[in-house]
Amino acid sequence: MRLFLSLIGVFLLILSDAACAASFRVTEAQLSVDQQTWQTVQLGDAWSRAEPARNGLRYYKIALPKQGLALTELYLLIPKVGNRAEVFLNHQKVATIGDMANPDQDFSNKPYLFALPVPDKSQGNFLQISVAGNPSRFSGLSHLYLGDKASLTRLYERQLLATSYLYYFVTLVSLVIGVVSLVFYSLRRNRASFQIAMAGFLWAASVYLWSLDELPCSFTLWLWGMDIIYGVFLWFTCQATLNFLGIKKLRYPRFISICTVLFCLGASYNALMGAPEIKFASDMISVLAWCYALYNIWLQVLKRRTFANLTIAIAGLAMLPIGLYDVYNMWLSREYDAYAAPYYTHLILLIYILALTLALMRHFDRALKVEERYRKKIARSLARKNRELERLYGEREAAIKLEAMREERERIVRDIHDGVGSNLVTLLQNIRAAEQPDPEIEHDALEALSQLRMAIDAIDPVENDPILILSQIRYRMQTRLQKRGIRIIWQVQALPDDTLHVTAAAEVSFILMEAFANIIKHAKAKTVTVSSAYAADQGLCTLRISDDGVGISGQSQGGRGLSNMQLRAEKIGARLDLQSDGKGTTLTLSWLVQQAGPPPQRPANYPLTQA
Amino acid sequence: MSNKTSRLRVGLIEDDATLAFYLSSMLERNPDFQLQFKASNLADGLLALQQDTPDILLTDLGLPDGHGSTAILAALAHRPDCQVLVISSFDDDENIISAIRAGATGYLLKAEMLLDVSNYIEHLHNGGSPMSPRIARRMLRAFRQLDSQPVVADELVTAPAATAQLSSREQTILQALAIGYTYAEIADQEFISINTVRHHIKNIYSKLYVSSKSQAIYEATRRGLLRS
Repeated sequence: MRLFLSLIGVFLLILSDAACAASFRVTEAQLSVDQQTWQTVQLGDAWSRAEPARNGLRYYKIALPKQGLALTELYLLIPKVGNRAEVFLNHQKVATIGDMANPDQDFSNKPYLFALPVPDKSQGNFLQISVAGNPSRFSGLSHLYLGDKASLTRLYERQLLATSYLYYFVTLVSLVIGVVSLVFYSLRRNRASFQIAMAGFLWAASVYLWSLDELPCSFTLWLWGMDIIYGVFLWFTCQATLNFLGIKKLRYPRFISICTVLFCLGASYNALMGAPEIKFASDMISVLAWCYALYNIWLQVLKRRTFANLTIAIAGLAMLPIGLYDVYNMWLSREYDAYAAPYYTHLILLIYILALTLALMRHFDRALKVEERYRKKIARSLARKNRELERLYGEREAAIKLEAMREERERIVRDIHDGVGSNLVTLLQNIRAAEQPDPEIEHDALEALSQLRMAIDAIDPVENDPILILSQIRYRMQTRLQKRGIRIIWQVQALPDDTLHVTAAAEVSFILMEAFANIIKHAKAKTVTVSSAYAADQGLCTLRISDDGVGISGQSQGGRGLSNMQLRAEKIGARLDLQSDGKGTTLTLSWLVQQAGPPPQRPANYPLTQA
Repeated sequence: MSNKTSRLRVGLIEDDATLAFYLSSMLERNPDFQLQFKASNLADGLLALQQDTPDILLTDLGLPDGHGSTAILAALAHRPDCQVLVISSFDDDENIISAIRAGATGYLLKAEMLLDVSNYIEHLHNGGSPMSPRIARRMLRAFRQLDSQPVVADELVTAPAATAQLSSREQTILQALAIGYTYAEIADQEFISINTVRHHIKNIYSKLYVSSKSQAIYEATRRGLLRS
């Protein structure tokens, strides 16, 4: 965008050019082809193709004015002369522009500034300029300026800016456009960017060739080459626009191709036969192609009004009047100083392909951003999916492990049933069936059977409900407690579901069994009170077993069993309190229920004890 | 009670010879029971059931030539009011629940007989061993599952949910059993006799059987097996 603004600045500078002409301006001269007969002509007429271009040698004679040149220095500025020239002051050669004998030289693209010897003002001084012309290209002599160094230098710089400097600038920018677009193409394989790159290179070549003074080949070949380059450039630019805007109609590229071919044919004919009228006609065909392209561009842009499309359309539209203005100045204007109007076509075509490139870059920039966004979105979604997968995998692993544990437990329980269990039952039957049953052996066998059943309950808790575990223990021990005259006061109520992790159930089962076993073996109690409680506000579950026995200190043993119970409670994160005196023992098992979410995977963490 | 005609006739199917001998001699010694037949395999048992179905059938589940539930079905087919008790080594819920679904109204534990014979006879009188908390819990769950089955109005099939409904008293008893209360404690709390509690429990067993049966019929009908 900054580049675009600076180009506009250059434009404005060029436009202000005419206003700066300060010094003496020569507009009339005597013209002769044989140096015999002379006629008065307006200078600059040959630049307008309203008149045929001058061929061969022409001689211009200009009388220096007696007044108005009170100078200590004299400078001559020739804005345009072609194709080659020699300058004489009072028959003395003072400057040469190109080699008069070499037809492949053309110096008409630049202004020339010369220092002249200061003539004697008392005599009538005259300037004679010989011009070698060629009808294929503009030939003739423009207005001249005579004056002091300072004012003419300023004028000269301005004109140079509109010619040579402009050529260098356009060449450079076109090359940059070409390289940038080619890089784009290599990255994205986009056809439009390749076509813009080609257009950029072709335009750089065209403007470079145009700026040459000494031609690398014959003049005709040079001119033809430039025309062909222009034709191909036209084709690439129009095709790039078509591709960029996504115009699908076949008519459009066909028409452009036909115009290109016609243009090239016209240029070739002109090169071979030297027919400026055909050249003019082919130039008009190229203008027609541009107009048709522009029409289609606008049709499309009205359908899809994006910023990029509008930029292209406006640049294209601006090209049209400026191009026509150039054509008018070059071919149609009858103004003798029409040459002085700057030649804008180079610049405007550059601006057009620049606009196209900018639009394309913007397009890619957006595409890249969208792609980036999309990529990020995919990455995010992938990460989410991965996490989910990991979670599911973890859950599955845990489920498999639990299932395996369950199956293993079932297998063990089955084995005990069918193996040790039925053996014990048979043993008991045999003891009973004996002639004289030994009550001690019978008692031991019964005890073993009872313990085995409890062990099975512990291995296979089936449910993770601590109340069910407690109840089952009571159910198992009921007979033995009754036999020892121990009364149970059962004050148990149901707890909410899932207060205990399934893997903790076995530990709870062991602790409770151990508690009952201690009472039966050591406590000498009459009454056992069992109660449960749940404090919903704290999420605290409590099981309490208290007896009216002798207390722990009064017992003969039991220290190891107690520390084992404590260890198991710690392992599942529960709290075991033991209060004991001579009047009895109270054992309290309590744990905090995890309020939300599934139970943690690691067995060390289930029912949480953290406050 | 000691009258010959009022003796309860008992059929026994048990493959363990020692246990069968032990049981049969115990029954013969008891004036309330009369051993009608003793079979050591399923085939003999089925044959005996066909000839004359007893008041009480005692059957093991794991028999050398088949599963005891076949005998349960046969007994109930011949005599719907036959009381079937399953003899089990352990009160391991899976087997007992499936036996109840097949029509058993209670179970007896081999080990219990060995622990205390008089207790065992009492259990036999009262329709089996007391229901353990684990079995009570399994029964509760089984009824909940039956309740959650879809109720479909069908002229051929009664929706199983209707029969699955436990009375509120039965529900209370079952829940109390599941948290460790004894029959006696439940009787005290509910202001009923212990025999009423036993009666309710027998009802609960048969409700699960009936529900399971109608559930099976319902399922079969739903799949078009009984539509012919």
